[in-house]
Amino acid sequence: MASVVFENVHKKFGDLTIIRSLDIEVQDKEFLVLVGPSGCGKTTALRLLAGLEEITGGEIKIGDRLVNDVAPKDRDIAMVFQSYALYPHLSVYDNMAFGLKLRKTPKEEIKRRVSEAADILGIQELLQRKPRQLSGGQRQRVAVGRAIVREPKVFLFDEPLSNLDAKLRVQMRAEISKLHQRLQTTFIYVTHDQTEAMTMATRIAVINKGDLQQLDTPQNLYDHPNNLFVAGFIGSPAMNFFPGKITKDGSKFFVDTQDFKVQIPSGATGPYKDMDGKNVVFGIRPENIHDPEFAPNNISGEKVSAKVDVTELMGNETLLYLVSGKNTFVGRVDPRSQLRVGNQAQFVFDMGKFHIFDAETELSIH
Amino acid sequence: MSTLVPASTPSKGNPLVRFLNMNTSGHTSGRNLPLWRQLLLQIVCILILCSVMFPIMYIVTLSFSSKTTRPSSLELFPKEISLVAYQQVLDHPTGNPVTFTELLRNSITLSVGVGLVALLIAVTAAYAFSRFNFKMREVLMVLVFIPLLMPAIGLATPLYLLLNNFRIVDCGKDITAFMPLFACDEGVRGKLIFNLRDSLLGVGIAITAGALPFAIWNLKGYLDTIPKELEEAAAIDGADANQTFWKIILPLAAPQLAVTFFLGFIGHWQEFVTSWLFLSQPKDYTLAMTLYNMTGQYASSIPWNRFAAMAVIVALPVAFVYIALQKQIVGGLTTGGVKG
Amino acid sequence: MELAKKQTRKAKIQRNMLPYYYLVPAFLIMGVITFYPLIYQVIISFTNFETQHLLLGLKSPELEFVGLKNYIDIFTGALPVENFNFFRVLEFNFWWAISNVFFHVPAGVLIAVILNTEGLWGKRIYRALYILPVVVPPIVVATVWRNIFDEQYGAMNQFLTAITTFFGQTDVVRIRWLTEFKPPIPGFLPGAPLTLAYYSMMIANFWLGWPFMAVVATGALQSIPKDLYEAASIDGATGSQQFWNITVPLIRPAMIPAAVYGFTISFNLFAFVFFMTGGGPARSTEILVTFAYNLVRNLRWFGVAAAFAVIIFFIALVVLLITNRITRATQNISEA
Repeated sequence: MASVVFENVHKKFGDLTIIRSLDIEVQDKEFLVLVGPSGCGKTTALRLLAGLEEITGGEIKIGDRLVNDVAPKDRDIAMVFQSYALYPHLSVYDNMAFGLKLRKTPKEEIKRRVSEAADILGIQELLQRKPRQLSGGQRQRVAVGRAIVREPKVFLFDEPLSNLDAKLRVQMRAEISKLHQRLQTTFIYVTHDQTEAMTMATRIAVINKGDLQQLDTPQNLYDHPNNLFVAGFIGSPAMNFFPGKITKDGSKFFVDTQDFKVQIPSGATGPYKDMDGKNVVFGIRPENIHDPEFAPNNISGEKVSAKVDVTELMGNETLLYLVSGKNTFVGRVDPRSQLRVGNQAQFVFDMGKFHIFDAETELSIH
Repeated sequence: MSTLVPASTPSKGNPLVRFLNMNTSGHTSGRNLPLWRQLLLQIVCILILCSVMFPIMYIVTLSFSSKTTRPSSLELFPKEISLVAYQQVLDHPTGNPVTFTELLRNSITLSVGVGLVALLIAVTAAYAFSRFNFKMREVLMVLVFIPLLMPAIGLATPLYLLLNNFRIVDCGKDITAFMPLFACDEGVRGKLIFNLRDSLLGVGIAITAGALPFAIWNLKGYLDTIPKELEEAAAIDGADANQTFWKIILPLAAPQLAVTFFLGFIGHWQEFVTSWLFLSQPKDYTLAMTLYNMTGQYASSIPWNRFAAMAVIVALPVAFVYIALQKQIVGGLTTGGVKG
Repeated sequence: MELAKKQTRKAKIQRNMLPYYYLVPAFLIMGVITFYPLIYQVIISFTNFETQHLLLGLKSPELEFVGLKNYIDIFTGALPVENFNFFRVLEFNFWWAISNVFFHVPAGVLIAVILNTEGLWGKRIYRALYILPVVVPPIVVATVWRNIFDEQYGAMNQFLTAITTFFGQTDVVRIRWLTEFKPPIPGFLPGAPLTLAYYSMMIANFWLGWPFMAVVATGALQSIPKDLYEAASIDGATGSQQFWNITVPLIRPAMIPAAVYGFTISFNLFAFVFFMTGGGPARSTEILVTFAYNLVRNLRWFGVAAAFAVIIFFIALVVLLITNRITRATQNISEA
């Protein structure tokens, strides 16, 4: 049980910078998810923490201990690999016991711990099998079990669910969350799948191109993204973006995209007071765009005229792919909506839930 | 494109197994083969089969014959099953004073011994090349590759000259000289007791010299395919480099160690270049050398049925190893071939 | 703190040294029995090392350094050996390797394609028996074929006699397969006469060589998705069009490395050539390695043999560079 600190960590492979400067503080018992597109440096960050890569500069601490030059085996961590990395020649039991045996743990103790972990994961009856006799989900469990028996201070997960099919992934997601609650240990989890991040994490670190974009709770990331990248990365379908300008008309402020113009509610104009004429990106999530017929009454709506290009009926909701001038965007509307391809309508944008980003710095303006 | 042709990647199953077991895919669609085509192809296949079986049937028939005269007409099916030729070969293989058991023992000693020694020495080096990044890596790997370019005779010549210096000589008067460290007193010729060059040990050393680089490359190629994550997992589990090697890598490489050993065995069982050059005493001869002695100019007195029996005897262990391990060996051969 | 730093530095050095520990056994032994002899060979290639120097080696008082004389003698054919011409042997050696591959690969592919025909009866039996030649050791193959090609008692002449008798001829066929020096097709390969012995060796090595190519080709054939052929036949491609436009391009990435492998094997096929013809008649089937062997084993000119081995080494190096080029070029094609 320990906190983890990345301080000004950078990593280069030759001339190639993978991580520019990473500062993350992971609290004790936290479930932190590192998320980002592939190649963003998140896995490298995890491998630096595990000691599998040598750090180019900066400091990594586990607990209060500086571990920059500590060998992986002495860092008191356990890791679950994307490929599971089960030892093919050892039985499930021996896979799980391997680390303990190396540490000269007494036989009885090993037996107890393996058995306990197997109970938690429901793999008791698999203990004598070889990895090749297991299904993907079972291998996954064994890999987790191998980490559990070590009782490490920190658990590291490197995209552990990406080799599973969709259904199993949802199931394992819940199990790993449960495991975290049960073990009360620090979990650090790497994934490129924002759904995984949102569903499991206590906090999420969004990383792109070797830089930390934002570190916050899932809800805060969703509601208050720091910048365009986070706004676009978190949430599915992604937030709609419209390039435009802020315009002022008397005391009213608008975002003008040339194809349409929406008014910023008078209570929310504060940050934009001096920005008349500024180039911005206007953002709104699909669920905040409503079919005029089913728009809630209690919102400050702005009407935007658009044509339906494609419809996806999901049953519990309907996704409408809309075109307004040169802009295309998605609305997630009430399933009762009667709008069909080719229909033109005045869609309602919920202006209580909009985002505005500086077009140059891509930072959120709020 | 490359995904369509996994034949060049060894992982997609063994070519020989597919060669033998293929019964699904083919050229045409699900329609039946027209009869005239079936018959035409059957004729072609049977003709090929005849050409394949021709020398095999010929030599097997000959080996089961009791006639000690040379064959006067072509026989491809045994008229009699006589084991006389085999018996004679086992009793008295050549005109030289050497028993069959000795020949067999020499062949086995060389092929098994060299195979094991080369493997033992090669495996740690292969591990270092496969898994570590170090300054001299490239240079040393090229160095290991260089001998592979030299044909066997190119290594055998200098070794012949060098090993020839290691002798034990009885100088008389109870003095034994170990050359080149101690020689007899000047002028004393002495009696040669042992010459390393003219011994199985010397031949073994010379063959090992060529077998080592091959074993290193072969094993390295295999170790490269063991996922790196396994070692990383072991490192996190608490294994140091030595433990990783002994407890993870070595057990995983065991099948390939066996394949490398048997590939070596097949090669060294037929080894001829070095042994024929080095050995002068019939008691040291191998089966391959004996087979050579039974053909051509030296063989005018040897009945062909006995030669045929010897050919079958020399071929059998190799054929046996091949068939028992066909999956791995032909797989290894083809991947080796594919890798160039 | 200082101490800790020192310890980590020590650990780092140890970690960096580790691969060298693993290399020590192999390099120690190879240093003595492989690398040192190779260097020694280069040294004696500049001497007149012969049998009388065997006992004292480089310390022999009469051993002379003759500079490049051995090399020059080899290239100019000044060696007092009958029928020796270095460039003829070299040409023949290349021709031998190329002509083998030229027959083995297409035959292997063709037979693999035949055996891949859907609905062919007895496919499994054919497959199991066709690989028998791979299983038999080449030295046995060579000696057996040598006897088959025996002028008086060999199976080949007996077989031909049986055929000619069938057609009413009474003469016994007496073709001197391995000893006839007059080339059956004069001037076929300019500079190097191709005797009947060459053709006999080609037949025997063909028997030995094509099954391996068939195994490789079968593997490649079966990785071609069946729907490609279905799509092609819907597009109206005939059988032979399918073969040339689908089969050939898709198995090429597997066959070219196999062909390169076959070339290198044939190029240095010592035991086979030595057992079958011994390089004869009149050195017409001598390849580089068999001649090198004669230099050591029969003539005992160790200095000349060493020079010859060094030359072979560089030829092998050139061959390797060329074949590597070919393999890499075709790899790029297949990945593009």
